[in-house]
Amino acid sequence: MGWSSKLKSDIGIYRSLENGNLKNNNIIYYASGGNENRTEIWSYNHAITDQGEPFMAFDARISTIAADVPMILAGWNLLEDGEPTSKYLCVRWIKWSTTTASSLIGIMQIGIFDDSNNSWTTINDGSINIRQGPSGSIHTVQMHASFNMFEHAPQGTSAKHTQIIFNFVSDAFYPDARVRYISGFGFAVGYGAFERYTIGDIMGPLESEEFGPASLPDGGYNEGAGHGSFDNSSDIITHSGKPLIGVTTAGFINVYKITQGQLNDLGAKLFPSLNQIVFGNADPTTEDILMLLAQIAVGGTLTGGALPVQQMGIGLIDVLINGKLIDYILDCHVIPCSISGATVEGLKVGYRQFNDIQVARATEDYAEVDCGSLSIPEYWGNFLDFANVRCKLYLPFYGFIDLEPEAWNGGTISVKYIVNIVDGSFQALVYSTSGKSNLSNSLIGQYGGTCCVHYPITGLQYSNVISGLITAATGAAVSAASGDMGGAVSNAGNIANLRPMLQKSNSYNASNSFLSHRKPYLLIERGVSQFSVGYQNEKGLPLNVYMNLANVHGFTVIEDPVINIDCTEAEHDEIVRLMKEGIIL
Amino acid sequence: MNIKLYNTVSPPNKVTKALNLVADITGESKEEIDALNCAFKLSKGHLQGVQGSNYLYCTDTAKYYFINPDYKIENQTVTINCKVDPLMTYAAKIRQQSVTVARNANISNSYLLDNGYEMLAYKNIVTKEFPAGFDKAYDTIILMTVG
Repeated sequence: MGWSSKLKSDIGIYRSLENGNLKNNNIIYYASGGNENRTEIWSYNHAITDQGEPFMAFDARISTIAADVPMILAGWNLLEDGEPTSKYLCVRWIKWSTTTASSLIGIMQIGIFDDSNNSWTTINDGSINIRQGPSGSIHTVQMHASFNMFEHAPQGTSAKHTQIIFNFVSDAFYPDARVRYISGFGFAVGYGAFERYTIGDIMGPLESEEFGPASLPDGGYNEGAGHGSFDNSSDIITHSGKPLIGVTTAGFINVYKITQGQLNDLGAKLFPSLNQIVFGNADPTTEDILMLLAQIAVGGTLTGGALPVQQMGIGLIDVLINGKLIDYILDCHVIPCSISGATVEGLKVGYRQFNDIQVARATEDYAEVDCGSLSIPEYWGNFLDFANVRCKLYLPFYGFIDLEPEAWNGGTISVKYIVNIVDGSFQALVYSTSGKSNLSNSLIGQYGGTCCVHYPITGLQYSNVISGLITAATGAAVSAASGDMGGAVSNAGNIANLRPMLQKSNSYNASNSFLSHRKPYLLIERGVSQFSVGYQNEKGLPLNVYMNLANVHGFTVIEDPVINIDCTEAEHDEIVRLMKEGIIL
Repeated sequence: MNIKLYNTVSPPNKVTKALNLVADITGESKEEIDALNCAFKLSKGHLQGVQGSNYLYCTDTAKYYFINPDYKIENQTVTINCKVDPLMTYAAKIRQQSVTVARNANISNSYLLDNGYEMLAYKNIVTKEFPAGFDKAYDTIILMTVG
């Protein structure tokens, strides 16, 4: 037969083969875009040089494959003496043979499709098995094809063994097949040895300008121009987790969960009233007071409601000691979540442990709060879901962030918080799973802030405590030994001065974020579109597909028609003008 | 020349028009006006047919024409001005063309942007709350001490 066999990667011819439409005999071949019968196939076709690089490559992303429906994924027109023929060298998908989650096998063939009589001739001597691997992995599957199309090959032998390597990046049911190269190779069994040759040896040199990006029928702006990697895979980004080192594991720094009542008890111990010291209760009766005064006046033994002098002395000593303990309190604040892993013990403050105040001691610095996820289906199911929509995500204690529709529309958004219970800071983590984007539960945003309210029970500026935790704590411990904690000076003989000086700055409510709403939510703004009932027939809907007009019906607009009709120039221009305005087929 | 007079209600931009034959007559002459327009001279006896038609086919040229409503009667001749309809004339050839279809009434890529839609002046705003958050019941007081 002697085809010159200059294989030309040609999307235009491939499309014209079937014009992007279904055929009744269940052979589906499709060029790009579109969605026929819910089987979406994108096929990109480009030629690469024959200098050891892949000769031809195509991507076929297959989703929702109907069972046992043969589909031509890619075809290359075979030329004879430089002229197109009705024959195409094609790679054809046959069917899934096994469709379990762990073993996905598809069957493919290589053959010749003759457009003149709609015939298919399988030329490979075996099927290609596609095995599913872990998501993102690449599997190389070799298929050996033996066919006799290179009759005039240099070696002069009639049968050539050709290897087509398929590299698959498999992801669930979305195999991404690339034909890496076609070459001859030595094959020991039954065929003798051949010199390795490339398609260039067989076909003659490819004219590089013909295969340059600009010469591609699609104008060179689709994938294929520039010979890119076509790697659109997306890594799953997950948070690296909570830090392993924290303040709570430092032996001399105590982080307690304390109740309001326990805090009040501590306060009573640190700052007892004079009545407490003298009478043992905060609210003595008038009679007790008068009795005390009378007894003091006569210098007699104190009786009545007053405590014995020895006991009063012990109480006074306690005051002197406990009053210094305020220096050993680093911080007290409220966080909006619970803590886990706490062990119970008597409250330690400096060198004293109050066993009558049993508190829960935190064993890790971080708490997690899972706010759950939202799945938002597309409202229109078309471009309006993305061109006509704005969205803000409200994050508690942070505020609103802008969110692209691709991250949530038709997908799922999840929000989790990691709260540092020591300083009240947090990181809000936003995850997205979206079919339109290439996201699979990936971290798409992190937002930090503060979500606590400080109790002003120390004399320190809160900023000193919040930032540089360990440093501040260490510094505090050192200062505590010397009795100086950031300026709160105590005079051993002055009870009144045992109360620390409170800061006058606006540090009580260090973060007004604590007042905010407590659940994340989406604020979705959608434009309200208005289509008349006649819109489709009067204006048509966007398509942008290269196809034969025999398969098109209804109102049709062709923006830049290139037509080949034997007519006058004026008639040609008129047809072009009408096509641009829209014709009814 | 043989001329078929038709009446059509199909829109001018319809490639294949539905035609109702009004008269099948013999024309006297055809005069070119410009590349797309011409004038046919018919016998006055065909006036009724002309009045009932808006479309014609000329066998000599093998083309279809729109008939302009303003015809002239001079002596025994009716002159009708016509403009060639290239869509109907070359309908079969047109359907053989492969082109990039930008818009179509029946096939579409619904995710391509379409700037032809109208918008109302107001927007629809909805809120969707996440199922969980920070329950106030879990607010915790943290006390940090050294010792």
